[in-house]
Amino acid sequence: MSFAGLLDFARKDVELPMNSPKELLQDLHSNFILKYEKDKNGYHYIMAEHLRVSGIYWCANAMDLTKNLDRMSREEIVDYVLCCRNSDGGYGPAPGHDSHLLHTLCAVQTLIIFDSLEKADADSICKYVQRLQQEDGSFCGDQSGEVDTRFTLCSFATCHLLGPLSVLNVDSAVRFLMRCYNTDGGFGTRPGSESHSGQIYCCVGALAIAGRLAEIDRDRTAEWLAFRQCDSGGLNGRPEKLPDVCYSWWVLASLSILGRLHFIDQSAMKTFIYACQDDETGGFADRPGDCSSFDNSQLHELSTLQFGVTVFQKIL
Amino acid sequence: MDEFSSSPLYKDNADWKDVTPIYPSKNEEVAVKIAVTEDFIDAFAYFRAVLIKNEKSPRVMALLEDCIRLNPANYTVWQYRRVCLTELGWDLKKEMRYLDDIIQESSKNYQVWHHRRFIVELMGESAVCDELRFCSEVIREEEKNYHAWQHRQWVVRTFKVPLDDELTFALKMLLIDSRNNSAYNYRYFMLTLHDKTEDKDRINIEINLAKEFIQNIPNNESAWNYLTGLLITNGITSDSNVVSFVEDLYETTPEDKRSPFLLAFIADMMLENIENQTAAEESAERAKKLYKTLQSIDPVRINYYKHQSLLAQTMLIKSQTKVAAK
Repeated sequence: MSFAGLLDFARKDVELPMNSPKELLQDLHSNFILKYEKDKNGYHYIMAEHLRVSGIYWCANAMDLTKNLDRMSREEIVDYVLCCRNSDGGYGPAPGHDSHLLHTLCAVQTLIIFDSLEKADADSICKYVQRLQQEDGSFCGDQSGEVDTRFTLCSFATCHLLGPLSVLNVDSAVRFLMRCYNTDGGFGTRPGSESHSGQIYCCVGALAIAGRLAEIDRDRTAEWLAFRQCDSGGLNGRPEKLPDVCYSWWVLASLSILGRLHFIDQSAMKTFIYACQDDETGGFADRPGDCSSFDNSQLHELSTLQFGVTVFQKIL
Repeated sequence: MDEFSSSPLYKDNADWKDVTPIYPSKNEEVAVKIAVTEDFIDAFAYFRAVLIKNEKSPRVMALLEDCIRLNPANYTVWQYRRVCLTELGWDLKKEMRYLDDIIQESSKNYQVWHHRRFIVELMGESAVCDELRFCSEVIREEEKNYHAWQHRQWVVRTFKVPLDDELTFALKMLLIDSRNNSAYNYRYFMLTLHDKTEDKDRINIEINLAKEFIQNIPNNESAWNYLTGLLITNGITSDSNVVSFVEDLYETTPEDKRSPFLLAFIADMMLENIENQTAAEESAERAKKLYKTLQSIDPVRINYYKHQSLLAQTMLIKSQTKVAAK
């Protein structure tokens, strides 16, 4: 064998432990969330303040999808979310924090889950989003001026959920997205940035909301996404990176939007996600073998849990 | 910060006795104690107070450093720091040294990189050398760090760093790891920035580079994607050198050692042949055969290859209809 052949080591991946879970542990996951909620001081305090509204959305979404929403304190949550509104029309992650598009979208989504959207001022939210659009069509996440295609999705989704998308300059926003479209079929955070599964979800999602999917070569994008699946069944975010449960959501949701869900092996992916579950406490790890507290942030666990559950309830 | 924090907690610090800390509500405080430490509660209580007082002072800068240390992802803290340092005429070089340390610890945090960009904008041209060096350090440490590559792109675009230096940097990274997708992307970014994507000579250099890396390690998704990307405007069969390179690689590699990327590339060439009506029937046959092989050597994508195989058939029928119509 040549020297070059020796260098051709296997692609990055993980092995699934023999004794890992083989089915969805739904009840354990609900309890995992309720453990926070049933704390006598309210679950939302436990989570890191700077991401609280997003955290609330992740919990509510997972509970909603598993038909456990009535076990949560609806009024308390809705009141809390409403308290995060700032005078600029946007929502921060917690009272007293600056507004941010990420939390504004999560606030709107949470209010919808709890049938309380009428309590929000749709008009001022849309105006807030509108003000964050830049001349080149891109969106800043907040007043600090960070531009990212994630924020285009947040803007489109927020305004779409509240009413007509036309409050935004959709054409220039789409032109900006297309400047982030790479020759490998993927999308990055900004023009020139590397393709990344999460960003593809944001851009493909935004194009879908705007009815502009025809702008891209769907097969090419879907092909790149199909190659995100590793032999373990898990999906990664970029070539030669380890698989991670959260990419099951980013990749699958994108493929689903593109109508190419069958490009990946769904049963292998299910096996991978099952194996990521913590069969003692509930919750998911990023990948099998990592304990779910590996990232040491409860919020990270909650978001991963939400991704895992959403994949099962919404896509498969 | 040394001159202000003789005591570990702000509430015991004489320098802060003029400020009334704002604690979260009583209930919240109890609950928060479970998850976070006392110095977190303490520092953020003073941060809330400072925000309301709108105080901008060196001691606030020290407080903000503590808050950032406790939670580098809190963007309200970073935003306030920018307001303060602008108003105080803060020493920007000192701020950069501070950021060097923070980024080493939280290299995947969006806020730290955004803050860094803000400071570089204030410093202007004089910061470029150090910035490139800093990005190199982070990238050497963590070869696919998305933020570091992106920050480098911004520096290079904003301050018009020459093409060759940056191509060399990307090449160095590829020589360390030829599967580093970020480095290929960076090379392509540089070509775009300098309007070289239509420059035949430059594209040929890049094609040869991709071929070289593929020759060494054929099972390299990023190198194949790079090659395809370079050819995409005119089609992957448009360069006869590439076609013969790929066919040679196929012929000289034992059957059981052929990379799925090699087979998929040839299959794509066949699809293009059908499209161009170049030996459409034979090309369709070969594509289907290749997809069959791919189904067995790369089973996780079996459905994708089946889809492609059907596509080859559909394209053939379409092409035959076109010929008949003529």
